[in-house]
Amino acid sequence: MIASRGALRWPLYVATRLMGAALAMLGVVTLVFIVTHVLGDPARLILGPRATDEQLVQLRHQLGYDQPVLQQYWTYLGNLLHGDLGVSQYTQQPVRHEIWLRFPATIELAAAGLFLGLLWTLPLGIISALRPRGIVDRISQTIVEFGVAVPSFWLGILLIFLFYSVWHVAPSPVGELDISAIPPPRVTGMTVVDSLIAGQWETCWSALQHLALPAITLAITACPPILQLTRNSMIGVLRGDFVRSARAFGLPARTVRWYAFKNALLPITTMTAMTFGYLLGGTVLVELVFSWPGIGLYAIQSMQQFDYAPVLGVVILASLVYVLVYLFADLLAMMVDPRVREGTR
Amino acid sequence: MSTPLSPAGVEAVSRESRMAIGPVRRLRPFANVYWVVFGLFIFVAIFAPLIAPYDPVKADLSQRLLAPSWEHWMGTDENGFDVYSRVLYATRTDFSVSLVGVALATLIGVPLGAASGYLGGIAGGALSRLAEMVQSIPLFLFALMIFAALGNSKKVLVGVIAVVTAPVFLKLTRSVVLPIRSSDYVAAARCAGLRPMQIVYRHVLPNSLGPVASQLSISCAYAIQIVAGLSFLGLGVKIPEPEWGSMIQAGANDVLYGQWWVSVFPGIAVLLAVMAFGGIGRQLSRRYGD
Repeated sequence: MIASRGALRWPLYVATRLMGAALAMLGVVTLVFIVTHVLGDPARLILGPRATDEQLVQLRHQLGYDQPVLQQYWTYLGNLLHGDLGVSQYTQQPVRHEIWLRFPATIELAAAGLFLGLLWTLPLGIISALRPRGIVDRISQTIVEFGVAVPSFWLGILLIFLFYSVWHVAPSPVGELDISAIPPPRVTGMTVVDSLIAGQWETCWSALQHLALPAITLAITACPPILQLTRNSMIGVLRGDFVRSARAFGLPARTVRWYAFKNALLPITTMTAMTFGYLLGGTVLVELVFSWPGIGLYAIQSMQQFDYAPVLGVVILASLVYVLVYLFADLLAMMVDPRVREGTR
Repeated sequence: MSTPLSPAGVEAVSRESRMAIGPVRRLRPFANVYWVVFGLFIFVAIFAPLIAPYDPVKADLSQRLLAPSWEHWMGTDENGFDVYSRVLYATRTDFSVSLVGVALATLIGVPLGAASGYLGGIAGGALSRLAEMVQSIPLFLFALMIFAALGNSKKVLVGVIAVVTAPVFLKLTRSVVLPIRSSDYVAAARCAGLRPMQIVYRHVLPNSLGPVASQLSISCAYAIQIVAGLSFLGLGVKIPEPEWGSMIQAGANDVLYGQWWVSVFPGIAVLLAVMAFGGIGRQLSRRYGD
C-alpha cells in the first residue's frame, strides 16, 4: 500500500521540481533583461559619456535597442534558447565560445576548493558534535567565525604574502602554470586533469602548486557552513531514539557513530552541493587575486573594457549552474531518502 | 517548520545566513567584546578627523611605501598616503554605505514580506519566489551586471546592497507573519473590523521585530563584506576616497615585493567590523530564541 503510493508520488515530485527549476531560470533571465534593457542604457555605457546623439542612435539601431521592449525580450529569449550569448565587443568572438574556454578553470578551482574544504570541515564537524561545547568545538567555532568573516580576497593576498614573498614556497600567483611549463593539449580544459591525461608530470606538479593557494583560500572562506551543518545535524541525530537504542543494545561506540553519520549525511550532501554551486559562481574575487583564468576573471576584465555581453553571459551561465545544482541536490535527496520520495517529508 | 531537506531549509544556509549559522554558545563576557569593537568603530567613524594624524587624501610623494614606524603607524602606500589615517576615515565610508544600504533593504523587504505572508496564496508566493530568484544569481556577478547597466557610482553601490540584502528580510518577515496570520488575536482583530493593513502594522509586524533586529546586524556584516569586495573590484567608491576594499586593492601588488602593510591593515579592519556585526547578530538571535 505504502510502496504503491510512493511509486505514484515520486514522478510528480520530480516533475514539480523540474518545473520549478525552469521557472526559476526564466525568472532570472527576465530579471537580467529588466536590469540591462529596461533600467539601463547599454548604448550610452558602451560609447561613454562623450558620445553624440547620432552615435547613440546608430548603435542602438545596430544592437536592436530601438525596437519595442517586448520585441527585444522575445529576441533575447530566442537567442538564449539557442545558446547564443551575444558577441564580445572587444574580441569580436562569440561569448559562448569564450566562456567555454574559461569555465573549466573555474570548475577546477571550485572542485579543488570544495575538496580541501570537506577535508577539514567534515572531521572537525563530527568531532565537535561528539562533545558539544568541548575544547575542539570551541576552537572550531572560532575558526568558523573567522572563516565566515574574513574577506576571501584579503585572505588570498595574505597567503600570497606569506607563502610567496616571505617563505618562497608558492609559485608566483599568476594563472594556472609557470611560464616555463608546457601547457598540456586541451581535453577537458582543466590543466591538472589534462596534464595527467598527457602524462606530463612536471606540468601537473606546476599546475597543482598554482592551484594550492586559491583552493586553500576558498576552502577556508566558503566551507565553514558545511562544518556548522555537520556539527548541528550530528548533534541532532545523536540525540535520536535509534542512537539510544543502539547504545542500549551495546553496539560499539564506533558503530553507533557511523550509523549516526550516515543519518546526518543527507543535509550535509545537500549543503555540499549548494556550496559547490556557490563556488562556481562566487569565485570572482579569488580569481582576480590569483589571476586565475576562469569565468569570474573574464567577467571582471570585460567589465573593465566596457564590454557587457560577456558579463551578462557569465551571469546567466552562473545562475543556470546554481539552479541546476539546487535541482540536483533535491533529486539526490529524493533518491537517498525514501521519506522524500513518498512525500511524507 | 522546515526540515533540513526542504528548499527553505537549504536556502537558509545559502547566502547571508552563512553569517548566522547555528546557535553558537560561548562564555558570556566574550559576547560583549563584539559590542566594544562595534562601539570603537562608531567612535572612530564620528571622530576620525580628531584622531587621524594626517589628511587621508593628501598625497606626499616623498613618503612613498614607508614601513610602519612612529611617524606612520601603519606605513604609507605608493601615493604617500598615510595608511592609518585612511583606515580610520574609511570607517565612515564603509559604515555609511553598508548601513544605508541595509536600512533601505529593510524598508523594501519587511513590508513586502509582511504583505507576502499576510496575503498568502499566489500573490504572496510570487513575492517569495522573486526573492529567491534574486538570491540565486551569484552576488558579485549580479552586482557587476547592475554596475554595467547603471554606471559606476556610490549611489548604485548603495542600491546594490539594498537589492541583494532585501530578499532575506522579505523571506524572514514572511516566515514570521505566515503563522501569526491564522492566530486567534488576528482573527479577533478582523472581527473587530480592522482593515488588513492595520492588522499587519499594529499586530503582526511588531512580532517580527526581534528576528529582524538580529538579521539587521548580520546583514550589516554581510554588507561590509560586499562593499569591500566591490570596491576591491574598483566598483562603487572612487579611488582617493578612503575605503577598506579599495585600499586592499591598492596594496595588492606591493605584497608581492614584501610590502604587506598597505593591504593587511585595512583587511584587519574589515575582518573586525564583520566579526563584530556577526557576533552581535548571533547574540540577538539567541536572545529572541531562534
